[in-house]
Amino acid sequence: MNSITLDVAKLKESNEATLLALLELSESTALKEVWAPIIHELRHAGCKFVERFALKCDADDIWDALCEKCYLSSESAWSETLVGKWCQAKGFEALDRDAEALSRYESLSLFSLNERDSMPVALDAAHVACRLKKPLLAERFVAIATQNSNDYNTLQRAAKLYKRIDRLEQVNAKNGVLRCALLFSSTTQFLEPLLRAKARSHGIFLEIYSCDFNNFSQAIYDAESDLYHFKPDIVILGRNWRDLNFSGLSDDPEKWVLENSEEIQQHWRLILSRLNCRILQQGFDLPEHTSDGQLSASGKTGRLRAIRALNASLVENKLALVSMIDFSGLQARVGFSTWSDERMWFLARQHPAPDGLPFVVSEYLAFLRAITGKTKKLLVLDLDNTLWGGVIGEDGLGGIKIGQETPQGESFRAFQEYLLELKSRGVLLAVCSKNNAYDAKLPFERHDGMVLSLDDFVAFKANWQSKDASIIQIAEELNLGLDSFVFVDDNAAERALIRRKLPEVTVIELPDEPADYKSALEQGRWFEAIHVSDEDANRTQDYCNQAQRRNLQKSASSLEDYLESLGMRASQGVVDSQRLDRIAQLVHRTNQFNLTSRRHSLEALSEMINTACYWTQWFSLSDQFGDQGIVGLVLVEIREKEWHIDTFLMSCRAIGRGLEDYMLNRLMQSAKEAKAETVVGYYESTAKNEQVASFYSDRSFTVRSNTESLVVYEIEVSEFEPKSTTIDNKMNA
Amino acid sequence: MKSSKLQRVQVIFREVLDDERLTITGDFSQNDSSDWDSVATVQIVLATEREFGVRLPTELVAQLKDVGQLLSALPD
Repeated sequence: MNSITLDVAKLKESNEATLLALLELSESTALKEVWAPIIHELRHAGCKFVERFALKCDADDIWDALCEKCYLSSESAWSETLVGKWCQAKGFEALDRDAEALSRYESLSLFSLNERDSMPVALDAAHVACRLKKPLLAERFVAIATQNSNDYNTLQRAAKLYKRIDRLEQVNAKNGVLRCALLFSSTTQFLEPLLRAKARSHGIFLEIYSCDFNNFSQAIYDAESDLYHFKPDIVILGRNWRDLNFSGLSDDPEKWVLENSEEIQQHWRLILSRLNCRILQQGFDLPEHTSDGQLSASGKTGRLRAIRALNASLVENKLALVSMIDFSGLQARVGFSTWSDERMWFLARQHPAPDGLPFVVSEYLAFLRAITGKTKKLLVLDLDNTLWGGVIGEDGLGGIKIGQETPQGESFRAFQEYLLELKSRGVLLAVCSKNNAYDAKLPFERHDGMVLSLDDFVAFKANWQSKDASIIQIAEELNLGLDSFVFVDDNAAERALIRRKLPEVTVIELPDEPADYKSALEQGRWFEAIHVSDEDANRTQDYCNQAQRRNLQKSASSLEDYLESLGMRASQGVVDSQRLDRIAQLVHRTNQFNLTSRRHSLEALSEMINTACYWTQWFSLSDQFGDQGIVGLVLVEIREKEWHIDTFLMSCRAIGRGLEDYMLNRLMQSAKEAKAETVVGYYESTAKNEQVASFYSDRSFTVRSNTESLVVYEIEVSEFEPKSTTIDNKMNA
Repeated sequence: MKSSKLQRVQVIFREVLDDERLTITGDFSQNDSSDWDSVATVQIVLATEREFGVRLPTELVAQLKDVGQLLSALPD
């Protein structure tokens, strides 16, 4: 074969497809003499190129030769770029020098690559970490790839790696196991590994039960079916347009919609009457091909029209414990070209196409995070080139781009509008910017084009200290866990810093284009909620009041003086149906001051308030700075002369004010009035409730029994001595 | 030396059958691996389509039993 002469200068500028084609035709001499010297200078080389180059070198057995020429050394020019380092790692792998390969992978800053390339390299790194028997490191690499990728093959690879990690070491999952039943009319074999992997990358370990393909009705109707023995926390009902029988549609479309809708509602009722669980109902997507053209959407007997009516009917009749996934909306976002592959249905009963599955799984995950209390609470925002275009300290008020005058200004404005919507839904906003405080505030005070104003933020850090320090301050001031933070910054170096220093914080990979900020932020569905309550809209105000309290505390001479000067007043009452949504929200969101963290469903709560064997009480708190609404909850199960405290929790906004003693006093008083003899308290430890570990022992309860994760305390009602508080009783509701 | 096509397919088989040391030839078939079930076939096809930028016909996928069949459907 005649060899091709390669023009090195042109190669350096060639796109990846050209590089791959030319690489394919190169022989080992060319690999060594043309390609190797310029690997680090190929501007458009990515993941595919690295893989192929490594494969060629494997096949021609030239890694030893390259190693002799020092290309793999950390002094070599290859070390200067990501592609170069990646090739070095591949080389070490081929030479069975895994430890050196791993050190190359660890030195890569994964997020400086684009998504397509950075996720495969993270998985390559995890492979090597597994071979070196380092499960924790491997887990971290896989989690990065899994959380950030929506690519089917990448996620399948990740799922395999998780299995491999489990073979090395059984990860302790005691705090995050969720039992999930999949009742589908299509196969779940391809979905399951993806769902498991995505969940695990968010710290949720799934036990999955899947009914036999298309046997979902039987599983629901048969009270003795495996579904009911499995006792799931979540049931996902995965229907799609293919399982709808359209034969009755032409006679009476309205009847068809009604019958189908009622059948599904009957499924909900049966499941909820037999299980203490939540249901995630997938609505129906739309068929890609309709023989009746436009009439399918508008004609009386059109399929699209009927399916849309069916979806609307399900939403209309939804029960409190059912959440809906807008499947046709998801299908539209993803697009038919990704969603549809008829072959996969005929071959394997897979629907939608495998490439659509990562998006489906991401929707499930948003829901699973919401019900496990993993919804994010606070958004930390940079200013320059994040909320407006340009640098306020240099460009000045007239120079920054924000508002409706320029397309760039409009895109920043649109992002601010989106942030304001988040705020009104209860998401807290904070600023963390390297700026002079005066400059940073100027646009908010004086620029007409701004949408956000200073009082939309619960914290405003504009200074020159390192951003991780500012973020820690925000967390301390607001008493929020870092794992409820999402960080948005256009500067890749700042993002890398936060990823390294504060791994609990979620960092959004912001694109260069400001018009795409919104979708980058929304993609992760970080703020998904299952309930909406009145407290959501006021949350920002509450946290601002909190900051004022802190100032007062700083100026007070003692803690007692401070608490006295707040003028706190509490009110309380029996939990009733009117307050149930807020109570359910507290039960699901409260992590720190929560003695048992039992996530009762709305329905279970509503049962409790309707039976005589439960004593329930909510507590709200107000002071000179404002009313905080309901911030405390106690649920007690009455077993004759023993009162068992099932739930004792307090919102983090109320911590440090003595409300917990007010609540306990109230509980003991009621127990006494009811002639109870003993009160039994439980402490179930989680990753987050360490601060209340000694709550009961500090209040003279004695230990009745003690196992690894559960301590049971008790106290005789007659022996309890109330602690005094500075909280007045406002009234008895 | 293996053809580059076979090498690229081998990467896919190693991944899907979860065996890093697996070496395949054109004769490698379903009888040679207990992990090669119908789900694995679909995974192999999906990954192969992605790697080579092709779409394999349903008929081939339904009858896929060995590596040779797959190779003959791929461009050089």
